[in-house]
Parts: sequence; structure tokens; C-alpha cells
Amino acid sequence: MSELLRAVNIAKVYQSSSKELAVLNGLDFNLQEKEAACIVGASGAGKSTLLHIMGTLDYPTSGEVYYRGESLFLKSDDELARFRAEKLGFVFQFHHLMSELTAVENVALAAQINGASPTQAREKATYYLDRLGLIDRLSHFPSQLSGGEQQRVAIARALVNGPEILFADEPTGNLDSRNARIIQDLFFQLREDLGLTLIVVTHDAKFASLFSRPYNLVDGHWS
Amino acid sequence: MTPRQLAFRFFFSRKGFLNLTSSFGVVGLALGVASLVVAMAVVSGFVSTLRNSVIDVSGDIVVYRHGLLDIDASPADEILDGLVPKPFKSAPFLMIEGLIAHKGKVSGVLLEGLGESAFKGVLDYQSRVVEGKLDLSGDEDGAVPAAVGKTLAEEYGLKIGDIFRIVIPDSKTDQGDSLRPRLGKFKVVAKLELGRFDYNRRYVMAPIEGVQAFSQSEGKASGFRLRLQDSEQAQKIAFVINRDVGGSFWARSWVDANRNLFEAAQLEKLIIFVILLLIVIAGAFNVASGLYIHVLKRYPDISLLKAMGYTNRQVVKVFALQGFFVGVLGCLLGLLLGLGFCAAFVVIQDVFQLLPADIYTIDKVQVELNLLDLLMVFIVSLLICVFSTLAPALRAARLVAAEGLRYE
Repeated sequence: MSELLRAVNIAKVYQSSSKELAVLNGLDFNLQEKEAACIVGASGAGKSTLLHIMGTLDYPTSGEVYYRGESLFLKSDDELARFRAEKLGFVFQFHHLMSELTAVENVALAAQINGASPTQAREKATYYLDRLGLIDRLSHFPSQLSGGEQQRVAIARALVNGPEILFADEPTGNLDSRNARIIQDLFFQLREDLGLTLIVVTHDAKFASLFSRPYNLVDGHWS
Repeated sequence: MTPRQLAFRFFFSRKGFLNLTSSFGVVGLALGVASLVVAMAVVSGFVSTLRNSVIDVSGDIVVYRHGLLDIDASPADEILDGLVPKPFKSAPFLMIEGLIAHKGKVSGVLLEGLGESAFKGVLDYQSRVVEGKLDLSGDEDGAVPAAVGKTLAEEYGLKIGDIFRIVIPDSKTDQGDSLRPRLGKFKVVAKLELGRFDYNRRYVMAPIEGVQAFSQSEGKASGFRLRLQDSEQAQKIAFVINRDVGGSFWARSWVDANRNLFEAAQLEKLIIFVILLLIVIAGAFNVASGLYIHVLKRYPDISLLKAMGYTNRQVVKVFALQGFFVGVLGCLLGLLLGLGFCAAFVVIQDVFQLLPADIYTIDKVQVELNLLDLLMVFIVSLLICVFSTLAPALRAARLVAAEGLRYE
């Protein structure tokens, strides 16, 4: 296994008019290819901020993130956008599906952004939705789907471009225990089947215990 | 899905940009555009009405001679040969000033004598007859048939068939310091709407033979009135006539005769355009503020698009396109509204006297919709709208992706 992602000395400080709030204090993090890592911690510990920085959705105040040895924040905005489309997949706590698009359109959108033709994108989207058991829900709008189904559509969207790393930010945080269990199992199943590298952020200790390598974040430090 | 397709979906969706709030913006923009359309149409119509009234009554060019000319000895075709592009039409005219005396009132009038040739494509009096018939043949009761301006007829209570008198000095008497008046009898056969107040109030037209006999200038004329193939060339041709004919002839085009009025009207049009454009700008800023709110509401979607690999430029495109759609919608609606208002203006003008004739020299304005004006209004308004919506679109692109993904 080779090193896929490395975060070095990541700090994030939010400035307000009167004071500074340090959320991350010089964190290091390594991720090997096909590894499943879990970042666990209480609410406000800085888990999501770290995930966003490693996923290039936010910039650190200081520190660097390397992907296969290449510094990510030296890239231009356009290059980073391209990088996210090709190499990364994201699943968020609030699925963030577009309400005016159907399930298949939501998934196909990600494929089209990555350069697939509308037909190819639809075929790929249908394949992944079928794989996640949603073949009967292709033309349903998000409002017509249950919470678990919505999250599965979001997972299909994250997978449709064959990402090298799947980032999941509290993927079960908004689900009931039954659906949470289904989604948790799904992640491990997908990792097994697709050989994914996985980073999951959660405050659910039970979910975290399923990972061989949980990282515990407390007030911006590894504990 | 391309930014264009996505912009389209965002625009027409239930929580899209085309909601009640932005609808007010669209209506504001449309009203601004409509005002511009109406203003341009009315000013163009004003200029056109003025132009027609001038050309119908005076011709494209008037060629004068200092002192009267002998019609048979100086045919217009010969004098103007090679200077005026053919085919052109000409008619001699004899203009004298006199006093109308009727029912105890007296005032100055212009008496113009016109021959048959004037009514064969040079001047258009037929369309300006409001009462009576333009039949200038015959000489009943020893009175010369005459057509009079409608205001003159009103002021003197002249009806069709009435006889009135015009007094001029007798040019052939020479009695030292005194002048002997010469009296002409005229019979009203038609009343004319000449399109200009000063003409309506002072103008009397009669057959040239009758005027020649009255003024003791048989076979003579003041000059020619010309009608060209293209009235827009009049100014250029008048210049050539003045340069090349020389002698005691001089020419004046319809533009030169009313230069101040036409220049003022064009300037007025430009000023009105600029001022009313402010309404469009205000409307466009309304649209921009609506789009700004829309951008904030779409923060999670923008973040998601960025997470999936949308570039900042593509995000700008999605929102700028929505501004463009609103612009197109507002401008089209504005054009339609403007056309409606123009139609209403025509109706209202028929019912109420909107223009005081003694101030504006014409008492009715036609509404002229010019394709070039409409295009200019549409393009300028659309550009303003697109530019004003660029700011919220750029704001959308600058949003930090992570922030929009934290909350539902």
C-alpha cells in the first residue's frame, strides 16, 4: 500500500472582529491507498473542518495537504475543481441532493461535470443506483424519497466517477438507527467491492468502532 | 448537465429564481423598458408628423427667385437639369402676403397660388382636407375658389361657400407716399388641416391663375416646389442647387427650413432616452438584489456543485444566466407593455387634446415604432440587467464551499 493523502501541520483559525478561534492546531494525518480511516470526536472538535480541508473544499490557515506527493493548495481553483471531480467523492450529513432534479439526474450531474455525455452519465447513474437498490426510484425527486434512500442516492452520486477517495461527513448523523446501520454496512461493502479509500467523520462511537484505525479529535488536537 | 441547462432548471423550479420576489423585479424592469419604448415611439412619431406636415405642404425643396420669375421663360426642368436626380416633380407657386378682412376682423395671411401640377405628386393637400372639396376650378360669383387653414376658418367663422376678402397693396400704382389697396374676393371651398398651427392660422391657397390676376403678376411665380424620389436627399440637393444655379435663385430643403425644430426634437429624444434609462437601471438593481437573495438561498447547492468539480467560472455562468433570463423576460415583457401603452396613447390622444397646438405647432402626434429604436432599447436594457446581475453571480463563485455544506 502506498501513501495516498498526507496532511501536514494543518491549522485553521477563524477570525472574528474581537477574537481568534483556533479550530485545528497543527494536525498531521496520513492515509494509505485502500485504507478506511475514521475521525471521531465530539461536536465542534474540528472533524468536519479537517475533512473539508483534506477534500480541498476549504483552505487551512497554515499547513499543507499532499495527494500522491503533490501539494494540493499550489493548484489553481480550476485545477482543484478538476481534481475533485476526478479523484474525490463526497457524502454529507444532509445529503444535499438538488430538489429540482430526480434521483438519476442528481447522480448523473456529477458524471456530467466530470465530462461524461448526457447518455453516458445517465447510464452510469442508473448502474450505481441499481447497485444501491434504488432502481425503482430513478425518476423520484428527493422529496419523494425516505432519509435512507436520499443518503443512498448521495452515495451513488459520490461513487459515479469512480473516485480514489470517498469522504463521508457524518453520513449517518441524520438517520434513524435502522437506516444508519444499513448505510454503515453499505460503506464497508462498497469498500470491499470497489477497493475504495475511505475517510469517515462521525461522532458515533459505535460506528467508529467498526474501523480498524479510528482517530480521536479533541479540541483541534489528536488525543 | 451544463451550466446553461442547470441555470434553466434553477430558474424555472419551484424554489427557483422566478418566484414572487424576483417577479417584482421583472415587472419593475418591464415598466422601465415600456417607458423607454413609449417615449421613443412618441418622439419618433413627433418628428415624423412634423416632417410629413412640412413636406406635404412645402415639398422637399423650395427654389425661390429674388423677384418673380417668368414661368414660361424659366422652366424648372431646364434650370435644375443635371442638378436634381431624375425623376423629380416640380410645380411653380406664387406666394404673396396680404390681410384678410372679414366680419370686421383683420389679420395677416399668406396667400399661395398653386397650379394643377402641384397636386400631381408634388404636394399632398388632398389628405389634409377636413371639410369641403379641393376643387379649385371655376370662378363663381366673381370670387376665386380658395382653401383655408382650419384655425383661420374657425377664427373668422368661415364656412364652406362663404366669401371673404384679402387686401394687398396695388403694386402698379405710384402715387408718392400713399398706396392704393387692392381687394380680392375669395370663396371658401375647403378647410385644411396643415399639421402645423402657424400654417392653419395664416394660410390661404388658391389657383395660381387667380392669385396672379389678383396680384397683377400674370405668368409669374415666386419659385418652384420640388418633390424628390428620396426626401432624405433634400438637404444635399438643395446645397448643390445653391452652389451651381447661382444668380437670383436660392433653394431651401425641408430640413433647413425647420432646422431648429428637428435638431431640438433629436436632442430631446436622446435626453429622454438617457433619463428613462435610469428607471431601467433601478429595475435592474431590483433584479440584482433578487438574485443576491437567490444566491444565498442556493448556498448549499453552490457548495455541492463546487464539491463535485464545478469551477468558479461555471458557477458564475449558472447565476449570470439566470440574470440574463430575467433580463430577457423583463425586456420582452417591457416591449409588449410598451406596444400596449403606445396603442393606448393613440386612443387617449383621439379623446383628449394632449398637445396644446399653439405651443408645439402640431396638434396630433402619430406614434412611430422604429425597429432600430426597439432594438436599441432591448439591447441596452438587457446589457444593464446582465451587468447588474454579475455582482451576485461573482459573489456565488466566491462563496467558500465548506460553509454551505455544514447545515441543512
